[in-house]
Parts: sequence; C-alpha cells; structure tokens
Amino acid sequence: MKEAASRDAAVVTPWYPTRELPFRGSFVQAMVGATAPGCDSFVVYHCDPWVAPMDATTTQAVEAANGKLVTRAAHRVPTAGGADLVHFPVTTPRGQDYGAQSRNHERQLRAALGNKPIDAAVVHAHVGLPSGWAAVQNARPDAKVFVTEHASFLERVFQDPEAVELYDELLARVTGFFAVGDKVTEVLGKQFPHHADKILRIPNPIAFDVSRTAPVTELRRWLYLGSMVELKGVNWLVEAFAQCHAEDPTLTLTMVGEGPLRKPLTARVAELGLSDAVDLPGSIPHEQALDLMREHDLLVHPSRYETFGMTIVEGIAAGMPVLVTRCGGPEKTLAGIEDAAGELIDVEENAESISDGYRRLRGRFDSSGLDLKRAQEQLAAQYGYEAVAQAHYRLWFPDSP
Amino acid sequence: MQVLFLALGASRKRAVVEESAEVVARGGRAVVLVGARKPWLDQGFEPGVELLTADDLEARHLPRRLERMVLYRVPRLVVRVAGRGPLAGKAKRALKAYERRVAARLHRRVFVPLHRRVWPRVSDRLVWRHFGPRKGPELLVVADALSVPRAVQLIQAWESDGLAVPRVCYGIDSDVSPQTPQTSAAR
Repeated sequence: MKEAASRDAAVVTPWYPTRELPFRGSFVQAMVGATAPGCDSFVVYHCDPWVAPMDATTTQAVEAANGKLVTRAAHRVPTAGGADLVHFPVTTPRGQDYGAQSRNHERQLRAALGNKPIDAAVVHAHVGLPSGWAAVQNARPDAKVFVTEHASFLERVFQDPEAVELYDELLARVTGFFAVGDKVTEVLGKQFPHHADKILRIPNPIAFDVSRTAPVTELRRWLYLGSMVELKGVNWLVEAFAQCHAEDPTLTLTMVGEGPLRKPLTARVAELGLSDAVDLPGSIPHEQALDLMREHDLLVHPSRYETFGMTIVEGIAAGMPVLVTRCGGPEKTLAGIEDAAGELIDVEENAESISDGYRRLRGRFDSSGLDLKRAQEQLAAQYGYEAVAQAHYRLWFPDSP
Repeated sequence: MQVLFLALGASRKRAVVEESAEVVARGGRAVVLVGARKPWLDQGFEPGVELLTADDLEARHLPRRLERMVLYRVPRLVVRVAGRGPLAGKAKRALKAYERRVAARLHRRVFVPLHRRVWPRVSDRLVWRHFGPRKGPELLVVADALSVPRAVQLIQAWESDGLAVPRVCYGIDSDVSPQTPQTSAAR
C-alpha cells in the first residue's frame, strides 16, 4: 500500500509534441522534464484533439467507438524526466464550441481511465479549458488540482457562454491557478473579478545547461521560430530582412513554423529574389529547433502579441542575442536585461521598425558587445528547470517540498 | 513487423507519412489504408509504403472480379474482335463512351453498394489477408478520428473469425512491444 506522503503527480494536457505537430506543447514537455524527477510517479495524459468534419450522428458514433478502443490502444510509454506518457485522441467535430469541447475531453479522458479517477494526489492541467475542466472532473476527491493557463486566445473562449460558466466553476474548484504572462492574467481578472486573487503566476521552465560550441561573433544568421500567422509579424520580418540583406548580402534568414502565411511568404521571398538567403522549412521538433538556435546568430521575434515569450528565453539560453517586439510578455520577461540580451522594438505596422532595430543592435554588438551571460543568469534563476521545479513542488507537496 | 495504418479521414497526413516511413526504414512492411487516393497524392510516401483503398481490396473478391469481367473485359474483347477495319475508330469511341457513361456508373451506383450489402464482412477479411494468408498485421495504427469506428469494426470481425488480432495504438511512438508488459492507461 502506498504511503500517504507519496509524491504522485499527473498532468492533463491537450498539447504535447507529436509527429503531426512536433512543436505543439513543448512547454508542457519542458515542465514535465523539470518536475517529474522529484516525484515518485508521474503520468502525462495527452488528450490530443483529433479534429474532423463530422455531423452530430458521426460525432457520436466516432466517440462511442473510441470509448471501446481507447483502453486497448492507449499505452503508457516513457517521456521526459522519467515520466510516463498516455497519448490518446479526443475525437472532435470541427468548430466545436469551447464549452462542449471541455465536456468532450472530460468524457473521453474518463473512458481512457476505464471509468476510474486519475490515481494521483496532485493533478496539474495545462489550459483551463478543455484540460482543466477534464482534470477536476476526473481527479480523485482528495486530489489537489492545479491549472496553468497558457492560451493567448482566451477572449475568444469567453465568447461561448457555456465556456464562461465552466471556467468560473473551474476557478472555484481548483487548489491553485496559474497564468503564464500578464496578458492572460489581465483577461482572466477582467472576466472573473471575484477570482482575481486566486490567479497566480508561474513560468514555463527553460533548459540553460546546453551551451553552443562557439559564441556569436556577428549577427549574420537570423532565425525566426513560431507560427506563420499575421499576429507574429512574419510579413514585416521578410520585408525587413530584404532591406537589411540589400545592405549586407551575406545575411540569411531561417523561418521555422507552419501556418497559412507560409506559402504566400515563400512566394514573396522568391519575388524579392531571396530564395537563396531565406529558408522556410516548416515546423520541426522542439529539440531540432533548439539545435537551430545554437547554429544561428540572432533570434528575431516581431510578434504583435505574446503572453510570455518562451522562445525568447530559449534563444538567450542558447546564447543568441534577440531582436524582439514589446508585445506584452517579452518586455516583462527581459526587464532589467534588455540591453544585455539584445534589442527591444515597438510593435509597428511597418518593416522599418525591425530593420532599424537590427541596425541599432548590430552597431552596439560590434562596438561593445552584449552581456548575454548576465542575461542568462538572471533568466535561469527565474525560468531554469530547477527554479521552476522547486516552485511546483512547493505548491504540490507543501509538507515535503 | 507488418503494420496497418488506418487513415481514412486523411486529417493527420504528416504523422502517417513519417511513421510509415519509419516502419519501412526499420525493415518492416507499412500498408496505409485510405478512403481515397487523391488527398495523399502530393504526400511523398517513402518507397516501399503501400497505399491502398477499400475499393482496391474489394476488387480482389470473386464477385467483383466477375463484375469487372462482365462490365469491362467482355465489351473490350467484343470491340477488339468486331471493331476491325473501317469500324475501328467508331468502335473505340463507343467503347470509351460505354465505359464512362454505363460501366463506371453501374459499378459505382449498383455493384459497389450491392457487394457491400451482400458481403458486408468480406472487406474485413481482405484487409487481414492482404498481409499474407496466415499472419495478418502485427500492429494496427489508428491515425485519425474517422478511422476509429473502422478500427473497432475490424478488430471485432477478426476476433469473431478467430484471426490473430494485432496490437493497436494511436501512433507508433505509443506502441508497446510484445516484450513490454502492457499497462492500462488507468492505474
């Protein structure tokens, strides 16, 4: 029989890297990698939304079939930090509302568990809906449930009245609730002012222990990592790169990620005659992205809005200067080390703000250099694996942190 | 290892292409059963990966072979024998029009539904036998939402026929080899 003080934890998440979407949920994987080593047992339930065009009858038939299949097809396999991973699909009709999605995740997680509760004293869910809801509904009665909210699209979630209702109940029931970034906290505080005191902050963990073979000596190889969507400012990035490349033809740009703008941007790059200098390889696994960071000189992140800006911290951890917009999260993350880490620029709907920012950064880099070591030390104290793991343990196991 | 990928919905193509390539690279056999070929044409499957539709499999069943003979082979033979000399051009055009307007429509609208109604379970057995007369697939990878009901149907049919049922998973990364003790997702 297990002792009462055993450190058993489970994670419930809709996002975790897969072959289909190797980027999605790498921050959850990082959190698992950081926290699992200090637990007696650790199981990740990856409730992967498999979306398909389905009418109501098909949706029901597919879910019923998955209920029969899941206990046979979902297995425990090893994942980060010595944890076990149980990956299974949550069959989802295209366009399902957030409230309905949450109830769907609740039902399909229950089926995957064989109608038993999650056998862990601590259950930590990533994103309030659908996984937070699925977690509170499937946790043991004595379990402590925590939720970390990452979603940058919460305002859209709260357009669904059922989702608002479920979220309100979720906030009332969880032991602890965390938001990554002030923007998420603001949206939640505005929607649920009566729960504002319950919403705390917790960072995503970043690995600072793998260094690059040689330090950056010139800001020649640019790197962008993220979705190919307008919100990320990728259109302006290509234009800004073209301006800088006209001044220095040795510059290159790698734009990693998927999205609706990938094709139009590939066409635009060809139109600008930059096909030899710009590479758009699509999305790649997180590990490979970290390798790319160590092979490039400058991380350019011209997003219009970020809740946190994990990629920026990863870039600095990999020894790269950053050129990043003040778009919500990054200016908070880099507070006090802006000049040591790179250059912050305002969000402007033009390419010049990026290209001018690059010229300023290059000027500073060439004349006096940056202080990346200081930036890394400050960030590691807040976002390193050990720091984040300890923060979780204090919450999960207050009697034996 | 003989692996059957069920990818009838074509909604997780990247995973299917990558995983089937990995099976082949490890010396295994990967068969991908799809609803239609068209969505997969530009996917660049690794050489050695077999792409199959239900229609391809059912075409091997005797009634469907007879149908093909009656609808296509016999008319072609007749045209080849009778349509010689000055009639050759006209006969070929007539044959093409017949195949497009009559034979294809009869196949689609009459024979396929009728075949599936009369022999509803033949396709289940044909999928299994595609891997060999005695062995069947060793692993069934259910690759998208619309394939889930078909997977359940195949497993039930194979079980009731006394055929060896393969291990089942939602991706080769979550497969548990026969040497590893299998644990249920629940504890």
